[in-house]
Amino acid sequence: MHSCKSIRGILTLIALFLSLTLSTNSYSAVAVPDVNPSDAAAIDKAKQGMELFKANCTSCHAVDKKVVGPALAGVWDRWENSADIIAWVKNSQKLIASGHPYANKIFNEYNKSVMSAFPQLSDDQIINILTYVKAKSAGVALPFEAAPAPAAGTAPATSDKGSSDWYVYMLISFLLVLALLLFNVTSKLDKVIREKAGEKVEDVSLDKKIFNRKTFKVLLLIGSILLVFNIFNGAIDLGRSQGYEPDQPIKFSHALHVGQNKIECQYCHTAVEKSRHASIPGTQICMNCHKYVQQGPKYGKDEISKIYSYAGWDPDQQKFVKAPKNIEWVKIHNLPDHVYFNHSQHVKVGGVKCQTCHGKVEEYEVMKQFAPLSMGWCINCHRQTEVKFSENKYYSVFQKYQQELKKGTKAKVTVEDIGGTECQKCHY
Amino acid sequence: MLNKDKIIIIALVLGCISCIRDPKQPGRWYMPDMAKSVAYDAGSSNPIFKDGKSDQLAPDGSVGRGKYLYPLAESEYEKSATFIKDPFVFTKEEIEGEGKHLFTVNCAICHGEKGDGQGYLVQIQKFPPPPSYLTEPLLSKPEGQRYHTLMYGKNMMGSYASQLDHRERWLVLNYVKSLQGASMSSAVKMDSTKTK
Repeated sequence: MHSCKSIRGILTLIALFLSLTLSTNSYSAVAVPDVNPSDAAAIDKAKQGMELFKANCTSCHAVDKKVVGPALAGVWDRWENSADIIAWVKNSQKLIASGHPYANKIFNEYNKSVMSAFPQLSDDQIINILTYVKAKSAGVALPFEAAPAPAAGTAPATSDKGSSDWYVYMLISFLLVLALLLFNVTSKLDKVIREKAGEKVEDVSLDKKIFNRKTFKVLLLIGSILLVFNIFNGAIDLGRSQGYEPDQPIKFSHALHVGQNKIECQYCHTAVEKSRHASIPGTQICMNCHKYVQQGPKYGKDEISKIYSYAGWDPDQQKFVKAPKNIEWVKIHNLPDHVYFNHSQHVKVGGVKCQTCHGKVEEYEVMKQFAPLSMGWCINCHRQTEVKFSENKYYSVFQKYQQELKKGTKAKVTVEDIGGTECQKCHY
Repeated sequence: MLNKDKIIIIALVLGCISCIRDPKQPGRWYMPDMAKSVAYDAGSSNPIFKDGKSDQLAPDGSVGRGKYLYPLAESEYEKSATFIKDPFVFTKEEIEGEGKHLFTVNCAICHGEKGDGQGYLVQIQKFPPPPSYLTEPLLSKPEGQRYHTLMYGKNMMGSYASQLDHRERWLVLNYVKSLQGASMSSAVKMDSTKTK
């Protein structure tokens, strides 16, 4: 009984060994060559490898980090027999079924996610891909690979209007202080000269010279005007938050995402064409890109790892390990409850650009409120904006306007003409 | 200087700076009786629900009126090839208008305007290139598997189930088909000129 079992065990071992050798001996042992930058033939092979890598592999693999699949750098060292890599790429399931220990280990390690089979790739092509990956991971400068294009067009707005104003104020106050000091010096010198000449000079201190009754009255007048002006503006500003720029839980930069990377606004604000709200994206939309992009240009891993902790994502294991938490973004644009505003109405039907009301968001490092969102501001736009009358069939009900437009007695139909300034359009 | 003058100056300066607002703080309100919503607003936090937000998903197993319930689980990718079929018939205007717009917004940033896998993020080397639509295996990928990929994502691509609704997903897929159709016909043309 006992010996029978052990014989069976030995037999299965032999069968396993045979199947392994059979499955692998069709490929001769291969080595992944190093790329010498001066060797044109090797460079050419690496180039072919790059093209194949980008066409077939990058949707799961990166060179030096784990994404969907393992990092490819060093894969030639991780497999005992590098010929097995070729068998794996051509049909990983076959290699797993044959009982290859490392193939099974890696399959289980990656939650049994199946790598697509690539029977169309030849042995040489796979070696070329690995050659490219090896050269890339070793940091060999490959002449065919262009350096990442610098973000064309919009440079990140480092000096917006506010900060340049600040410099002007600094400069003016510095010059004023300088003038005051120089005035002091000259008057002192003047006094010394006059005393030497035998004149008796009354010592008048600087502040007595400047702050006499007359200048005080002038200052008082200017101050009062400023005061009235400020109070007036402050009163208008009540209930408005123009320029509101709060700290957010994650330092998300619109300048980077929209300005440099040219991602469309609606990619994240998905509901803007369908609902009243533009909608703030959930973490799963962030994770569309940030599963791969783990490091930002400005804050490195700090800010992106915050997304991971909110989303419950573990970048080392490349899977969601915890339940997602809510990111509590601070809402910036707050309309009073007694005003109705609908994004889809303006963006989808009206064709209003996001930037019309939100400013050049593609240049904002920190999101802020661009428009005053006051009633006057709304009404003003409604009075001036032309309705897309001919493009939208809905407006055929406005027969009088349609006729007037045809006759040419009316140049354009504004939002006001179709009732855009009536109270109950927004207040109800 | 007299004491009275000093007081006047201090009062003036205080009056002038008192209305300056810290940009990190929202504006001030005067009697915000009807300004603040009593009801919970969309996207707001909410103490009533366990997960603390006002935006709630439909309970498990319920389907909203006019909404679509995808019948397959994530693991049933192979099954989707034959099981899922395009139920819509779109006009050319819909595909070229709305379909193209949705593709540009959601897909083109990686897959490229032409679907060749050379979107802007790929060009500036911030994201790895996805496979091209214009070559195999994606050229002849069954439409059901394409839809499945939109629902659950595949490899580096995330799910677009929350961004696009049922109709919009098929609209985008139809636009992708038109991209492939265009390139296929031009390839055929090139071949025919070659054989001549």
